[in-house]
Parts: sequence; C-alpha cells; structure tokens
Amino acid sequence: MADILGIGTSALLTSRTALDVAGHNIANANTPGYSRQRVDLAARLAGLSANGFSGTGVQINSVQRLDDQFVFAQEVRSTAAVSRTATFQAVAQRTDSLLSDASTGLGSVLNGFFDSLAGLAANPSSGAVRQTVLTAAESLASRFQDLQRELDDSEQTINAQLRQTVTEINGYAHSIAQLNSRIADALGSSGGQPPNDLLDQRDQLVRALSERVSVSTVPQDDGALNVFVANGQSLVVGTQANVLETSRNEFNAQRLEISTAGNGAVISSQLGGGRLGGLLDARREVLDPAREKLGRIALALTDAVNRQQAMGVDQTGALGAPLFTPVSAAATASVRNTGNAQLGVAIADAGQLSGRDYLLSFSGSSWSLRDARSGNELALSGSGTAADPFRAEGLSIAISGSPAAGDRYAIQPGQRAAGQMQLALQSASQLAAAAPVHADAALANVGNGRISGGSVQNVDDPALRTPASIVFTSASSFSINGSGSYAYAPGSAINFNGWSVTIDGTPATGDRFDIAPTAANSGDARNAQQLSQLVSKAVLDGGLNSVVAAHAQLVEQVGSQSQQAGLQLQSQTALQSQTEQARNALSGVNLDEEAADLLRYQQAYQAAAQIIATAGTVFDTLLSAIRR
Amino acid sequence: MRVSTADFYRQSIAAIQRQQAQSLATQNQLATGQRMVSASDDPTAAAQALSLDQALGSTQRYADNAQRAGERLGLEENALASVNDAINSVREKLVQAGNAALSDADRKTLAVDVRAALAQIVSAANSVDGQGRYLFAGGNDGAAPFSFSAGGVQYHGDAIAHSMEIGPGRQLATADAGSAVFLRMGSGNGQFSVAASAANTGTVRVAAASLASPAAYDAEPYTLQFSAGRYTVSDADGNTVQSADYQAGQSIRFRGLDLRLDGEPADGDRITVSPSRQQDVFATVTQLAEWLETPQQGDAAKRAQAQTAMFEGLSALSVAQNHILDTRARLGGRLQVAEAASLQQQTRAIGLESSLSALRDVDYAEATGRLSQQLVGLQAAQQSFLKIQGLSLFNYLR
Repeated sequence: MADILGIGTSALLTSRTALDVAGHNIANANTPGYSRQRVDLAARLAGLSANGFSGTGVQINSVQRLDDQFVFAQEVRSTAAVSRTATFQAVAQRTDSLLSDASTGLGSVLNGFFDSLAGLAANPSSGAVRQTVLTAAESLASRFQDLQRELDDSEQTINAQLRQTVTEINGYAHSIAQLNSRIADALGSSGGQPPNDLLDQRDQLVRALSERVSVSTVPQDDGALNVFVANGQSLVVGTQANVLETSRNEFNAQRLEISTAGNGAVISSQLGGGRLGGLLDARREVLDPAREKLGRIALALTDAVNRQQAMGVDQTGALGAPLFTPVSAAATASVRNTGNAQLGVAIADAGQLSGRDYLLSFSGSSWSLRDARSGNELALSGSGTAADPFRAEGLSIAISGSPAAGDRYAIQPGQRAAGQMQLALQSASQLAAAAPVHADAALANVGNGRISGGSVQNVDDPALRTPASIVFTSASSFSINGSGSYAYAPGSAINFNGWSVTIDGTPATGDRFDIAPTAANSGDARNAQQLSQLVSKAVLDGGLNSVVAAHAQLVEQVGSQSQQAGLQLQSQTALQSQTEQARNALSGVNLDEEAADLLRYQQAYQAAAQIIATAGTVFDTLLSAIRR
Repeated sequence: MRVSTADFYRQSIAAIQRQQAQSLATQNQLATGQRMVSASDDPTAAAQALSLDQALGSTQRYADNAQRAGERLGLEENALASVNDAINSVREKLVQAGNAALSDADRKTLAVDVRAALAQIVSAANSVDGQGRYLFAGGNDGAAPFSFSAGGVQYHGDAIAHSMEIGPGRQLATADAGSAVFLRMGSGNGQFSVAASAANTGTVRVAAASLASPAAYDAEPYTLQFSAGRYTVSDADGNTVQSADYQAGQSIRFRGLDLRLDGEPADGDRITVSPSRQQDVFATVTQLAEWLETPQQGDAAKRAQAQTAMFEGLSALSVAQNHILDTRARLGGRLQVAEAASLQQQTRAIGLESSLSALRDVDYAEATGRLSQQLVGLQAAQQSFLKIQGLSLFNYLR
C-alpha cells in the first residue's frame, strides 16, 4: 500500500515541479538570453519482490536548460561582427555624407574656385571678377578647414566612445568574474546540478561583451568561463577580471589607444570586432585616409596655385604673392624620446607625396625612414642638415638638436594640412593675372619674323624683368642685348634671363625684338589662363591626378567604404538573424508548447492525485474488510 | 522547426521595419528627385557625377567665354568699320582735291575734313570695351594706346594678344593689338613708294606705279633724273640702270617696276623710288592733310609735286584700307568660330546634363512602381502578423 502511495506522491510532486518549470518558462518567454528549461524525468529504481521488479514511481534527475554551446559561440562571433560593422558603417556614412553632400563637401566650392579663375582668365581687368576669385578662394579655404574640423570632431567622438566602451567592457568583465564565482559555488553546493538561470545570465553578459569587443571563451572544469580578447589577452580568468584602459597615443595626445591595465601594453592594433574594433577600424581605414587625402589635395592645390601665382605679375606690376598661406607637414616626436632633436618637415614637391605616413627613427648613428603601416624602409637622400635636408617621397626633413638612440618621430604629411589652408592675399589687385614679360617685334622691322608672347622659365632669375632686345645681325644669327652671336633656328626656344621666347618666320638683318616687363594694370591674362588650367593639371600622385580627380576619388573611396560596410552589415545581420533563429529554435520559449505542457502536467497531476485517491480507496477497502 | 514565441514577434517586427525602411528610402528619392542621397548609394556614379559636374561647369564657362568673345569681337568690328568709313571719306576729299579749279582756300577746307577723319580714326583706335579697357592696346589696356604728339601718333600699347578659352585647350583671340592693325603697314603701294623731289621745277608727276614683275624687283632705291628730254634711272650707288627718251604718259619699266609719268620735266627734276617702309595710317593721313594745306595756287611745279604726293598717299590709303579689310575678314571668321563654339558648348552641356540626370535623378515611373510594390509588401507583413499573433493555444484554455 505504501508503494502506491509513494508512487502517487512522486508523480504528484514531479508534476508540480514540471508545472513550475512550464510556468517559469512562460514567465520568462520574453526575457532576453533566457533558455527554456525542461525537467529531466526518470523512473525510480524498481524494487525487487517475489514477483520480480515492480516500479516505485518517478523522479526528477535535474532541471536542464536547453542550450547549445556551438550555437552560443556562433552567436558571440556574429554579434561581434555585426556590432563592428554597424559602428564602422556609422562612421563611414557620416564621413560620406560630410564629403558628398553639396552643402558640406568640397565639390561645389572647388568648382566655384576654378570657375572664378576661368572668369579671371576671360576678364583679368575687372575688379568685380578679381574680387570673386578672392571670395571663392576664401570659401574654398574655409571649406577645407571645416572638413578638417568635422573629421577631427569625428575622432574626438570616437575617443569618447572608446572611453565609454572600455568602461562597459570592464564592467562586464567584473560581472562575469562574479558570476563565475557564484556558478562555481552553486555547482558545489547543489552537487553538480546546473544553476540554469545564472548560466543564462553569464551567457547574456558574454553576448553583451561581444557587442563591445570580439571575445573568445574557454570553459573551466569548475564551471567558470575564461574570456579572452585580442589574440589571447585574458579579460576574465576564473574569478579574476583583468581590465583594459585607454591611453594616449605615443605621437598624438589627441588620439586614444587601448592598453592593458596591468603593464600598459598598447593592444589597439590587435583588437578586433565589436564596437571597439569598429571604432578603431573606422578611425584607421576611413578617417585617417580621408583626412590624409583631403590634406594632400589642400597641399597640392596650395602649392600649385602659389607656384603659378608667383609666375605672374599682379595689377601693381609686382610678382604674384602666394594666394594661400603655405602649408607645412606635421611631424611629432614620440613621448618616449629622450633626445631633444627637432624636425622641420617641409613639402618639397606636393606632387610626389604618396599618401603614406612615416616613422623616422634614430639608431644612435643613423636615421631611417619607414612606412608607418608596412614597416618597409624607404630610401633617404641628403644629410639631414638645414642646408642639405633629407629628401624622400616629396618631403624634405631638416633635423636640429641632438637625438638619442631609439628616438622616433611620426611624419604625417596630410593629416593636418586641410585645417591650415588659409587665404593669404589681402587685395584682389594682387592676383597675378598677367605674365611678367612680353615680347614685341619692333615696328620698324622689315622681315616677317614673329615672336611668341614670352613665357617664364625661372621666376627667381633676378634679371627676369630687365628689358632685353634680340637684334638680328644677319638673316641667320642674332645677338641678345648687343652681345653674343647665336644661330637662328625658326621656332626653337630662346632662353635668357629666366624667360623663354620663340621666333619664327624670316627676320631681316637689323630686325629687333624687345622683351619688356609687363607694366602695372595690364590687361594680359596669360598667367590667369595658366591658373585656370590648373583645374585639369595633374598635380597629385606624381603627375597622375588633378585636384578635381583626386577629390572625386576621395568621395568615391569613402562612398564605397560606406556602401561596402552597408552591404556587409546586411549580410552579417542576416547571418546573425539565422544564428539567433537557430538558438531560439532550441532555447526559445514557445507559448503554445508551454500551454500544451501545462495541460499535460495538469492532467498528470490530476492522474497522480487519482493514484493517491485509489490508494486511499484500496486502504479503506482493506480496513472495512478487517472491521467485519 | 521550432519557432519560439519571442522569435516570431522579433522576426515579424524586423520584417515590417525592413519594409518600412525601404519604402521610406523610395519616398525620400521621390520627394528629393535624387537617386543618390550620399555617395555610398552608388560610389562610382557619384564620382562620375562629380567629374561630369566639373565638365558641365567648364562647358558653361566655355559657352560664356565664347559669347563674351563674340561681344568683344563685335566691338572691334564696329571700331574697324568706323575706321573704314573715315578712310573712305579721306579718299573722297582727295578726289575732290584733284579738281584743278580749286583754290588754296578750298583745299584748306578739305584739309579740315581730312583732319576730322583722322580724329575719327584715332578715336576708333582708342575705343574701349564695355569696361573701359582699350580694345587695341594689347596687354597695356588701362591707358589709351594712341596719342598725338609732335612726331605724329604714338603707340603706348604692346603686342600681347587677348584670348579666351572657348573649348578645352582652344584659345580664340578676342582682340588685335593696335600695332598690328594700324601701324604695321607699308608706305606707298605696299611694295615701294614714289616721291617727287621738292626741288623739281617742271610739272612731271607720277600718274601710275605698279610692280609688273615682283620676282625682278630687288627692293633697292632708284632715282629717275631728267635731262634734255631723256630720263636716266640710277641705283643707290649711282650706276645707270636704264636711260631713254622721256615721253609723257608712257610706261617706264625697269627692275620689275612699271611707272607711268605725266607732265613735262625740267632738267634736273627727280623722281625717287624707294622700297616700302613701315608707315602707320595716321602718318599717311596726316601727310595728305599737310599737302592739302600747302599753297600751290599758280605754282605748277608745286602742284605736280602735290599730285605725286597725293598719288602716293592714295596708294598708302588703299594698302591701309585693304589691311583693315583683311583684319575685319579675320574678325568675321573669329566671330563665326565664337558663335559655333558657343553653340557647340551648349549642345555639349545638354548632353552632359542628360548624362548627369541619368546618374543622379530618380526615374519617377520606376520609383513610383517600386513604392507601390513596397507598400503592398508592408501591408501584407502587417496583416499577416496580426492574423498569426491572434492565434494562441491560451485562447482555448479557459
């Protein structure tokens, strides 16, 4: 009798527990990270009687959560990937909008500037046209500055996000370490029964962590979970959390890097995935190249315009002054340097700049220049003194002071250049539209020799604007300024005093050609035409790209980065969604299923109660039989 | 496959949101008329659009330049037409002056008219464009290029030719330097000049002079001297080239030249022939005016000298007029080029605009169709969601 009562009781209790579990599942149907639980039922060991084995009821082995560690690992991976790409895409998209929007980008003001120069070439004497050029140049310079400021602001935003993300990562690391300790305790005190809800909580924390940074996990035998970032850098080991921190970049105090709290080792370059990885990648792959390219456009444009401006004379008759303030390249010393050497880095040839960043280091006896990213050594010519600076890749580097062995300097030619662009000319009359010299045939010439207008070869020649005359001493030879005798070859260049002219036709003996400086208030537009033609002149990348083409490339580059990131995000989100479906297919709560379980266990409970009732009836029958 | 309840909601909502995002994007395209909001929508097209933008900008600039060039050339054409009129008027006066019945006073009156025509030529040569810059001054166009002084008319400009870019790498000259238009012309008939010596006492004068055989002319000076009814042609070194009896009205030919002299020479009278030299149109007209002002009433020798000078002046005027006409013909050619270029650039701009539009602008028909399709999808997602979420086993547990 006791047996059936016992069996009934075990069934009753088991059904109660199963109902509890179903209820718990229903209650947590919408809890993030919750894995549905299931009672693990087993028949109790049968008792041996004379009739053989007869069952003794049901028992609960354990309450298990339904989860799959492989799916979980996949989830962690895809979460990190999606979060990284989403962060990257946000930065890329912001940069893209900045550069491609007509009201913030460079395109319209760049076109406006060249338009105004073309206007100057067509009408060099008009004060209004000249003023338009200055205004357009001013807008161009301030647009460059605005773009630099926006990109710098983006970097500051990234810094703030890095700081916050590191704080969050450290918080999660501590929580995981605590949970590790509680899970180990729970496992110990329950004799190995899984603390399902604690495990769910910890998994959820790891998911949240992987949203911040890509992690790998290794379970320990005692139930603790070890978490690693960046190629094996441990974040959580057992109950111990090793936190990360932000530190200033060695060369740039405005830039934050991620380092370990223990030894301060910088691990930025090894971190990947998650928001942290996305931020670092976006800074390296979107912001830095965009700033560099923008800076290089500013450098090349400033250089080309100023050079051409110097080749002409303005309305006052003076040689052209720079239109834009000359831009210098940034060189910064490492904070670890022990020497006191200073670097003066100038742009020797903006067209030769490669767009790379460099690392200049001193070995104790010699200097070496390396590509900052690849580490490849680059050839240096010159001796590094002010008189004979090092020359490489369009840069000239002069070193003063005394360096110590191991000192390092970062040279980033374009990074700050756009922000330095500034209009230098004060007055519109200073625009050098005219060429400095012009050549005329004397009125009394008898022959039909014609002379070209005269172009400038070397604007630094002190005698450039000294009047000169070419007189033909015979039909086949001429003298310059009354001296020398040069053979006349029709159409070939005659170079003298820094100018160059060509004469063709057949000049007669005694014919004279005069080269005279252009006077003030000239209507000559030859230099303005040259200025205007800079629009299509390939002044970048070693003579491959014009300023306009380089700008189109920049827009295309950032645009396609943003587009790529968007496409990547779509596919990664789809992948993540699949992984989540796979997890939910196993671990998610289905309310219909739980409703069915409720019914099932309710009925089981009712049936178990019937077993006890039957036992009672049986017992009563027996008792009444004895009473008789 | 098991579907968890939370997953069902999540996926349904995600599907609805995706549909919403797509219809919003389409709506945005329709509202702005732009296919690309930022370069990431189509980076290649965006970069292409940037260069097309630039090309369109320069095309419009070229078209503007061509138009401006046309205006400037028109001004120059007006100025030269005025010069031509003035030269015609000088010729008329000279023809009048040829009338033997005129008195010195009459000729003086004609001289006044000629000087007025000269002023008209100078004024035309000093004409300005719309901005007060001088058309014929070359680069030095801030000051009037021509001024009167004791030595005649001075040129203060230079030889810089103004030009405008009317196409890629295509410059159109928009003005001619005054030195080329008014100064660089030959004296006489362009090849040689004739002059009667001021000491002549006879009435010999040049009635016609031409270059019969250009190949035989060596551009050296020659002198015809008369003596006892004969003329002797000698070269610069005094060597006799030719000598024959003089007969009024008969051609005298030597070294490729063909001279016809009239009147009766006195012994020792001389006619000189010299190669043409640079002489500007102002000097030519001034000299004519001076000859008109020279008294010749009752002085047959002076009159003969004046007639030779008039003949010489008229030849030089023809040369000048032809030169101006040539310049005008070139101007006309350039005007046509400017007009053609303007038209060509406008056509090109239309082509570029349509390419740009294809890259940047939304296709309304396609976008409208897409929007309705997306809205149908959105509606279906919403309705099916409502239907399915209403089904729950709990509805039956009572």
